[in-house]
Amino acid sequence: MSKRFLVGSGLLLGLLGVLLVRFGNPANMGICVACFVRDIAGGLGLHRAAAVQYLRPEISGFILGSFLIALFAREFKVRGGSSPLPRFFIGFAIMLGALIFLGCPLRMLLRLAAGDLNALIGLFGFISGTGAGVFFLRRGFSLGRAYPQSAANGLFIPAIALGLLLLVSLAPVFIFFSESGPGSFRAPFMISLAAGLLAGITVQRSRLCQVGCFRDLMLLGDPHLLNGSVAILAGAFALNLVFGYVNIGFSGQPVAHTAAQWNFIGLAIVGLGATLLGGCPLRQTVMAGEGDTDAGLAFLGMTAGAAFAHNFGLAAGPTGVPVAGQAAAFFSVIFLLGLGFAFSASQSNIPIKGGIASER
Amino acid sequence: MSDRPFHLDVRGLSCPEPVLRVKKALDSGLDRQLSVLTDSHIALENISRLARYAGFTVKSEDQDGQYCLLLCKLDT
Repeated sequence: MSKRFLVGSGLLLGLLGVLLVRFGNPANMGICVACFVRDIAGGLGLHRAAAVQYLRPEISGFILGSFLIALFAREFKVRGGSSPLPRFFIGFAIMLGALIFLGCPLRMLLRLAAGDLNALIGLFGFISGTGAGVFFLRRGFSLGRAYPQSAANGLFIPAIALGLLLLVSLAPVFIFFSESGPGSFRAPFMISLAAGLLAGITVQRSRLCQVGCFRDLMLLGDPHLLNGSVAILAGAFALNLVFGYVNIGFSGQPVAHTAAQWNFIGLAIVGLGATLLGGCPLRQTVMAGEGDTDAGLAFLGMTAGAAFAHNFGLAAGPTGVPVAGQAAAFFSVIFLLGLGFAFSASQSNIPIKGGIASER
Repeated sequence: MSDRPFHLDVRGLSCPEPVLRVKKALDSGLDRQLSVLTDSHIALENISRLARYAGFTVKSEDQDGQYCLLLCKLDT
């Protein structure tokens, strides 16, 4: 996709991120894959943190928008089998890291665009984690090949997205809705869904990726994707200025804490995990919609991670990161580093002249 | 220089492995032609961008959802 389209998509995503706050989503959280997946886990009762329970329609929108546009553009390709279980647990670890920082890389940009300097510390951590992932990629890290699968495999995640929309619309008694806290701040259903669909379509077409931007710059010297991330920041900042949402500083920021080391470590985990997966949480969600069942596993891993994070008191809150969360961060780092080494191998067999190269 | 193109099969690999493997092959300077097989539209775009930046022409052909790319070094 052209640079102009990528920048336009980034601007649109940044504007949507602020507009959704205007319409009722939590401050600096117009769009956040980690926070919204956590809210969905809560809405389903997979955790009982009363403040973060709501089946966010935006997530279903990302998946269904991607699904529909991929079908239309003939890019819906069902594939899988590239180390599904490791991908599930990487998704799990990414969610733990994101809930220690309190946001995915997209929310990091939206927080930064509203003047939250804790997100700047997070950005440094994110770049460091991505750098660690690039180290493994240079060593030959690979989760192996995915192979074509029958079309029905690719319908599971879109069907789940549709099911979530039905549940939040019909509101049966077993579905939870926060009455206070971030989960109680929500834009109207149709606006959330429309924004989610638009974002899903945009990200699928533009290939926007928050980890890809730094990874490609470090690994290939390619700044293409970085243009999209800068555009998200610019779009969100401009609209934050218009609405008077900019508040520059560390303290008093919405749904954030000031524990610098944990903001750094949390997003370092996300950067490393997302680099190993091959895409940021938003990109994984969108890929799950376009038929990538491995990305679907990573998405389910993130959902499980969110449920565990709140069931076992691992997630950060406005006062900081609990000791259990600090331990979870430690084990996440160990797990991801171990995985990085375990799946790295010599690339000496690639390429082979005159024939099809690479067995992995 | 070999008459045979330099084949690379990057089907099914996650980002950024396809483009990374192509970059390694191009950087090795072993040949002036490289043919690549991918099944990902994203890899197609990324490899094409990398190759053009590195001074290669790119021809691609869609064969039932699989893309055959032929990268040829431009004469300088």
